[in-house]
Amino acid sequence: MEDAVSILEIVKRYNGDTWFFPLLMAAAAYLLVKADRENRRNILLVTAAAVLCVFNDLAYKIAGHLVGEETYYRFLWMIPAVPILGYVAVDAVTAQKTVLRKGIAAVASAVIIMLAGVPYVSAESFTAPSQVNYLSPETEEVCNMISGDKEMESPVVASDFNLARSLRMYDPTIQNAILRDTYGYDDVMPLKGAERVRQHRLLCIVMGWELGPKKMRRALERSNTDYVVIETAYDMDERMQEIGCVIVGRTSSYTVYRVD
Amino acid sequence: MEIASCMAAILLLPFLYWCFGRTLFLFIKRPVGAGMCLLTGVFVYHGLFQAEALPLIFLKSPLSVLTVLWMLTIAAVGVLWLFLERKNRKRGQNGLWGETKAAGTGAFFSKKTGAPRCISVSAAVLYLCMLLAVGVQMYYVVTSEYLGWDTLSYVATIGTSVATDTMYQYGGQTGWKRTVLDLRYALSSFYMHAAVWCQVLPVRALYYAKIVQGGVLVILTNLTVFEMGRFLFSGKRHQGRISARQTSACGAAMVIAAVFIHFFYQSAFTASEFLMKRALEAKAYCANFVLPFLFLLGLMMWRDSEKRENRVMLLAASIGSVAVSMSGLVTAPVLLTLMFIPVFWKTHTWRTARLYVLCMLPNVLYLAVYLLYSQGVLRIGM
Repeated sequence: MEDAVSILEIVKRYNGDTWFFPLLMAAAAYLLVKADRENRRNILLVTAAAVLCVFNDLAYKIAGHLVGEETYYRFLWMIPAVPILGYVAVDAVTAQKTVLRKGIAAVASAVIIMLAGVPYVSAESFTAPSQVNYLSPETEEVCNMISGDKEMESPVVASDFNLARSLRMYDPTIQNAILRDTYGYDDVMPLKGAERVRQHRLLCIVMGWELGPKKMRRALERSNTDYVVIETAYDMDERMQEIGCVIVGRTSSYTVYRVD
Repeated sequence: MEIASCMAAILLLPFLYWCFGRTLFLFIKRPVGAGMCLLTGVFVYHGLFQAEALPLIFLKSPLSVLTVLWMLTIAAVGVLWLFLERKNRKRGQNGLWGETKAAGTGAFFSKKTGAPRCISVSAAVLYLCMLLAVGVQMYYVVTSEYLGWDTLSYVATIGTSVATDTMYQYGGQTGWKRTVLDLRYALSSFYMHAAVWCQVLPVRALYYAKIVQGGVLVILTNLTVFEMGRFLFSGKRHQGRISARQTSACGAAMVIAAVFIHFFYQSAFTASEFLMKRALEAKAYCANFVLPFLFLLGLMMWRDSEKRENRVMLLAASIGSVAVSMSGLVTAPVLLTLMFIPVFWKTHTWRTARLYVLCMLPNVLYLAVYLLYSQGVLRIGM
């Protein structure tokens, strides 16, 4: 939730394409009307304090300075939106006198929720137990190749964005050579400092981009990279062998090179 | 075999939570229902774990030392529980589920005899639907193939800790050895708790995180909603319309509604998104369990701030909030402060003020340490 300029924008982004925020406001108004005097006072006190002290632009700026603007949305978790909506839905059903009216109220509540929300469920939502793959089969293959070939306990591996997020989940002894920020912001971060330049060059290698052999070799040596995993489609065999790398093996999409 | 171990752990952990909670309430001689016992027990369990883990983390001790120590602690608490349970039975007081002969819940046990009572067909159907809804949600959550950078960070932190027998000494995303202990993560022992169980079971970190942490969160989230429903529907407004037996059925209905809403609340960073896709993360625990439970305790304090059980539960939750999730570092005390305002309005006593200060103290201390770290004053070198 970076770069939001106001609390209203935060709330808007938080709720995305759903209409749950207005629905929550409606639920809160319903509860205020139905509540007894003491609880109505309590709800109003808490709401006023929350708006004065937490949910306003000044608090957003201060909290952003202390804990980071990108984490401010966590304060919205203090509002138990789902239990409140659930409570109001059940209350609306139990308030009906006959079974038929209860049924109608239940269906109406469900329809309102379906119309206000954006569903997680689709035809592909539920995977059969035997089809569940937390990691791709290629991740396992690459890890096994490296594990079978390595002579060190904890090899440093340079790979693309997809593999980098999964290799260490299968084999936690593997170290990632390329940082998360490099994958996400390489095109906007300035090339300042040796470490930044090295990161950029490693990314060029794994993505098959243009880079001279001396620079490739230096980047691999200075980052202590032991293995490089590149998509076979980038056709990097010749360039990698030119700088002294050895092909360890191939999966259906990737080639694993050892840096000698 | 790993899957079977994970499924067993989904049953074992809630039992341990209940056991720790039950031990606390037996110790203070106050009856509390099984649900609230379990939910409070989460904070007692993780709070105790944190008390053992933090010194070992700061001293850079091996993970296996913590594992052995924690298993001994569980055994000790188990023995204490059995001892207190026996003493409790001899006194003829509250039963295993928190029911008493003198003043039972009325929902599941007869107030006169304490014996289990029959429930109506419609209530039975409702409870079955609730279990089905929670089962469907749990299946969706544990089979989610979502894979983000944060997923890598936390799963790899657990995995590297197990592989190297260390605690928080390696970066999650890179696996590089840290030069300084990162207190942004190390102040909460939640992931080291996962690492301990990965050593004990033994299962891979990815399976434990996805199946056990995800599955247990679904149970805790829905149990919190259930207890919230029971509490809210037992209020003055509903008396005369909803009997004591029916409050639990209303709680079950609220769980069904909540599960349904979660499936439709697809938006980035919402509590629902963290539950449905990122349930292995401590942030998901904060959003779906810690903060809603604190909210429920706040409501209970509005109704009766003098009840000892309510105060004890609030204190336990305050002490254990950071142990469960670092995201609770600031959000938990802010929520508590807001919920305490009506309590102060109604009962402006020193007793209430003292309770408030005690509840704030743990997070204030954690925050002070964290700020010292983030400003570069406090550094624990590797």
